[in-house]
Amino acid sequence: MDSLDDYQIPYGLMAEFDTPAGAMHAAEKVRDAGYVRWDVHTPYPVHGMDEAMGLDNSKVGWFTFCCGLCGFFGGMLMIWYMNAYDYGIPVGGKPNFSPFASFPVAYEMTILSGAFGSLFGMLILNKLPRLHHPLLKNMRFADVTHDKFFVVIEADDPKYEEEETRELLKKAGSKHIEMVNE
Amino acid sequence: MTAKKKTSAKKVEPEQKLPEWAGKLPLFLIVLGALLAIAGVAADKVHFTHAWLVSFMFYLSICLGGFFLVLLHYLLDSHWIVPIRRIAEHLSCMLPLLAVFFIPIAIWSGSEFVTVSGGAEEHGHAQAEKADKATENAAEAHGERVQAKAGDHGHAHDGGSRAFYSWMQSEKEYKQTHKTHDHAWYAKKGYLNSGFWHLRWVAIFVLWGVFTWLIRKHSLAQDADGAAKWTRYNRKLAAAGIFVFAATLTIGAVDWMKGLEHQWFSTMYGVYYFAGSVWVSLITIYVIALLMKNYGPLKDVVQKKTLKDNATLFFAFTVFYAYIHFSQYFMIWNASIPEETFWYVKREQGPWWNVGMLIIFGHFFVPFLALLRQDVKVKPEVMITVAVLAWFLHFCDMSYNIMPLIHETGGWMSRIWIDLGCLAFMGGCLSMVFLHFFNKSAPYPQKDPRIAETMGVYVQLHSEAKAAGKR
Repeated sequence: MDSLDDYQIPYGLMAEFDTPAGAMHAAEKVRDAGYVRWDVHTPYPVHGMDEAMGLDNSKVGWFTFCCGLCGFFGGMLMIWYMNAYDYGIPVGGKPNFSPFASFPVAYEMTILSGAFGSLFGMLILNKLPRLHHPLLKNMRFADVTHDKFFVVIEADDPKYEEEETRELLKKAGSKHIEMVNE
Repeated sequence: MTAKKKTSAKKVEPEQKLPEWAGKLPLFLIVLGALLAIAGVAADKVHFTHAWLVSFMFYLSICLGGFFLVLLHYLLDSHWIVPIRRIAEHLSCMLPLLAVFFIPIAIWSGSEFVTVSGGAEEHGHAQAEKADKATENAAEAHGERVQAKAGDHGHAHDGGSRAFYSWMQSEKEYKQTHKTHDHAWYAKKGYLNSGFWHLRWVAIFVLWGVFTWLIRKHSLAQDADGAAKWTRYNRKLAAAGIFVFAATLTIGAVDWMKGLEHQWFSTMYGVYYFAGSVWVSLITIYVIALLMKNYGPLKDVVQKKTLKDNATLFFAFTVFYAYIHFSQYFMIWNASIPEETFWYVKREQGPWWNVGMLIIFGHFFVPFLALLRQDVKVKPEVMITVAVLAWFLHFCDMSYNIMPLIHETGGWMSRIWIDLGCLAFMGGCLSMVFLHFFNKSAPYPQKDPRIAETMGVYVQLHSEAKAAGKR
């Protein structure tokens, strides 16, 4: 009687929607029901989805800001160390270190570090890179890169009850709801 | 086309009510300003003429920024500008009317006055620089230079007389004697001569009048019939207008503000004035839009998103202004040529050092750091604080360009009430005109093709409706 399915651990419930509006309204319902571990997958960014999901402003900005700040002062420090402290280079009667002359380079360092901050901050917050995701083995989910919209509620969610959650997604207007295993 | 018809049907008649104080405020400002200005003329005529110019350049900035936003909308077809476009149109239509305030400046131009302030330190510094020059051109007698033209090299000297737009004095002298010591003017006299100068300002105001009033005329015509042709007309006007805008703004800034010190060189001056102008104009439009949203006329039209986009562009111009002003300073600092550095050297003396610092921190760092977060861009209390700061700093910026000419060491602060009088007087007149414009027309473009989109209303297209019916 042992089939492979009995050893499967559920990952979550996946609900398919045909339109962005459908997915958005479903997201609003899931948000209002108080779920926390869930996500919406769409082929392209849908405006207003952040609010529909009740997402706060992204934290990536903090990574950008802090790294940018480090870049600016790091750049200043580097120029001061090289041109004024370690090996002073007098040019045209100007001071060896001046914030004016250093500014363009320090500014470039700000942009560079800020960009790195954004990229790596995003990767860290998304727990990327990862080698596998349970949704990826679902053939139906492949349509998310084409014309389908998916709302996925994870089984880890404290509010998750298979029957209730399925009912909620059905009420939200999904025509296809499927259990996805780990 | 179908989309447009549906939108217009949905539109509710806007309540055009503004609070009572809005109607009274302009008159109060005019009376207060006029009293202060009259007292100012009596107290210090020289300061008054320059304060008038500061005030004129200040309001010119705001109107030019409005013009730029209108052009931007038609060139890029950006939907977020639509709700606030009428405000920008009204501001831009005040450009030709500003000629009224410019006429006194044109009349005063060239009139001579005795310079009042200028301390011992500055005098010493001026002497040193003069000596520097003198070695270059030994034929020029030192003493003669001081007597002949105090305005030369931009330095005021005790007892010397110089004119409002001092090159006009050199020109007059040259016409009388066929000799000049003002090489800086002589080399530029093809451009800097009174006839051409007057022709330029007349042409500038005429061009502004034609473009701004035509664009608004078309925009108002669209309110009535909703035809797309008005948008197309305006796109063509905007395509030409952006070049006219760039040229006239640069010529205006150079002729009226930079021309005060004609010995100076800066190729970034036009874009520097542009950056500050659009900056202060965007926050002014933000505040007007916010008030009109709260008091009714733009309640449903101006969305949170509109304000956020407006604030974001303001934020961008905060950075842009800093970039331009830093670049101007940096080029001059780096090249270190006396013909260029004297302008900033003068502005690092006395109170101008503090004003310069204020511009660095108040014009850039404070608004930059304050507006970094997304959510503050729609917080009225933060934005209104930033607006007050921006108006103050733009006033400082204009003063920084104009006032060191007559107040090298100080005296600016003690006479600042004259500046405030001029600002209040012009501000009162202009807000009265604005309210007149506002009451005469709809508060926002009623039938702009993009009005539904910007209001977040989804309008089903005819083809879509048909397809849905078939299903």
